[in-house]
Amino acid sequence: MPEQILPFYVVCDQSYSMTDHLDALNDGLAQLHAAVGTDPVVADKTRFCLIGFAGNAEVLQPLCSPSDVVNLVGLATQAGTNFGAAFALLRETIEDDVAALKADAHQVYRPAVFFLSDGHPTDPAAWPGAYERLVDPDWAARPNIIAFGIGDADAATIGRIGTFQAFMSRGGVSPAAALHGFARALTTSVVRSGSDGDLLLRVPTQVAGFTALRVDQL
Amino acid sequence: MGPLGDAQLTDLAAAATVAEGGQGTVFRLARPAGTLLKLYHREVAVLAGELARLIDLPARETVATRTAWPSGRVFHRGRCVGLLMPAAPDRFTTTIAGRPRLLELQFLLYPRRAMWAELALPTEDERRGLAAGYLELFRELHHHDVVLGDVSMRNLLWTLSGGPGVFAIDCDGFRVAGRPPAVRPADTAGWADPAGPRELTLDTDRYKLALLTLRILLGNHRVTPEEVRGKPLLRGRLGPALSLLAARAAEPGRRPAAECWLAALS
Ligand SMILES: Nc1ncnc2c1ncn2[C@@H]1O[C@H](COP(=O)(O)OP(=O)(O)OP(=O)(O)O)[C@@H](O)[C@H]1O
Repeated sequence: MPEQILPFYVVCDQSYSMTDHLDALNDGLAQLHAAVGTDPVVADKTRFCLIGFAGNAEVLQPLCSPSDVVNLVGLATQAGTNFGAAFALLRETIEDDVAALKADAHQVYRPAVFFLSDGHPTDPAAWPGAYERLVDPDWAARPNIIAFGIGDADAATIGRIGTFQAFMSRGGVSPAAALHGFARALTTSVVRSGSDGDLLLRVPTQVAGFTALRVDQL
Repeated sequence: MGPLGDAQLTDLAAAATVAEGGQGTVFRLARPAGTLLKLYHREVAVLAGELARLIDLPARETVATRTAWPSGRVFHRGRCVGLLMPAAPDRFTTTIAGRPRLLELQFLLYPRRAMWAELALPTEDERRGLAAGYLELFRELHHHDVVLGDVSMRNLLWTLSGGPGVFAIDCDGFRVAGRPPAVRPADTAGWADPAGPRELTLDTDRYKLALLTLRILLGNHRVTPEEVRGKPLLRGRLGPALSLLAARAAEPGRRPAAECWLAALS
């Protein structure tokens, strides 16, 4: 049955600096998946994809209906923090996913990307080019990006990546607490957006443990 | 003087966050057990007087075991910022994917998926029992002139333990016909009255009741009376009495009351 679909992409930094927080992050993602996957209305209208990146980027959970996948693949740390690889993979993945959804006669809403990093990109010269292709105004499926920075992330970089909203974890807030806030914000966004009749992207304006760098509504 | 259950926010101790809603955050209180606090988001307009009126309504008694009827208002610095209500009884909760989950109406209206494979869904007879449960609840409220306003697949709960039973949460949008609601409810997509009335009335409630009954019986989240009228296959599944009511539900002003559906179901 053709539906109106809102695809969500969660893109997580899994570089070595995340090692100590990986359990908290995987747990947060499992909670997000459980909340969204056991909500028939939301599961019917959304699709979910998980991408991990370090020196390379990989699709850990290909775009799926959140209620069809029982166990989510977890993140595992590697060397490097290559933002460019993440953005390039995102562009390619979204392009293929949107084409596949349309081939199934679905109406597809502008995808949403939740981007999370705790560090500085190791490819400072290369990533802006890949990013520009991802947010290219001439590309109809360019996603809305909500960026979250934790720990040592650079506020200016995170602010530049978020096209919709950007958040930096507050000093003094532990990464585990910030990741908890990240997972809750994600869940609230997906559930609210998916149950909205018009499938508007609804992201909370405040996220526990974070400072909002910018709040742009379309 | 307000209702007896009114409280000051500073006197309450939240034990845990239950959920984040569109209009407020719901907390479980440390004391008294089984009491929840809904704290409205800043931007939500609350009519404190209407909320007091709702809390003191006599209708409350007759539906007390089937609704999370507000029991008191919560004030902070002189402003009404929230309400107190009973938590849904345990039998309206289940465990899915290792986590507690309310048994929401939505599970009855979508095909089963891998994530809730373990959930026990009702048989045809139990579906009729659940539909009758919601119809009786609406009948009781309408009898007292209370309009529910919005029907949402998350705010109506069901259970099969101890026989089919129903429970309604998010009751702050209920109002006596002709009064404004304490808090404006959402107009849930897919459940709106196609006649597009300016105010929600008993007639719009009756349309939503038709959607609710047909959708539960047919296990379909988007079937409408209009569709039933045009599809012999659906009418065949429902039988002549219910099909006749569905046809009437498609006509604003002629929509059947809860009693009519109950008679056709029995
Ligand atoms: N009485 C209750 N018992 C158990 N859980 C409840 C109760 N009331 C609310 N909740 C939980 O809190 C959530 C939000 O509550 P509610 O629907 O009242 O808030 P809301 O802000 O009006 O939400 P929305 O407008 O999104 O439906 C519910 O979906 C439910 O999970």
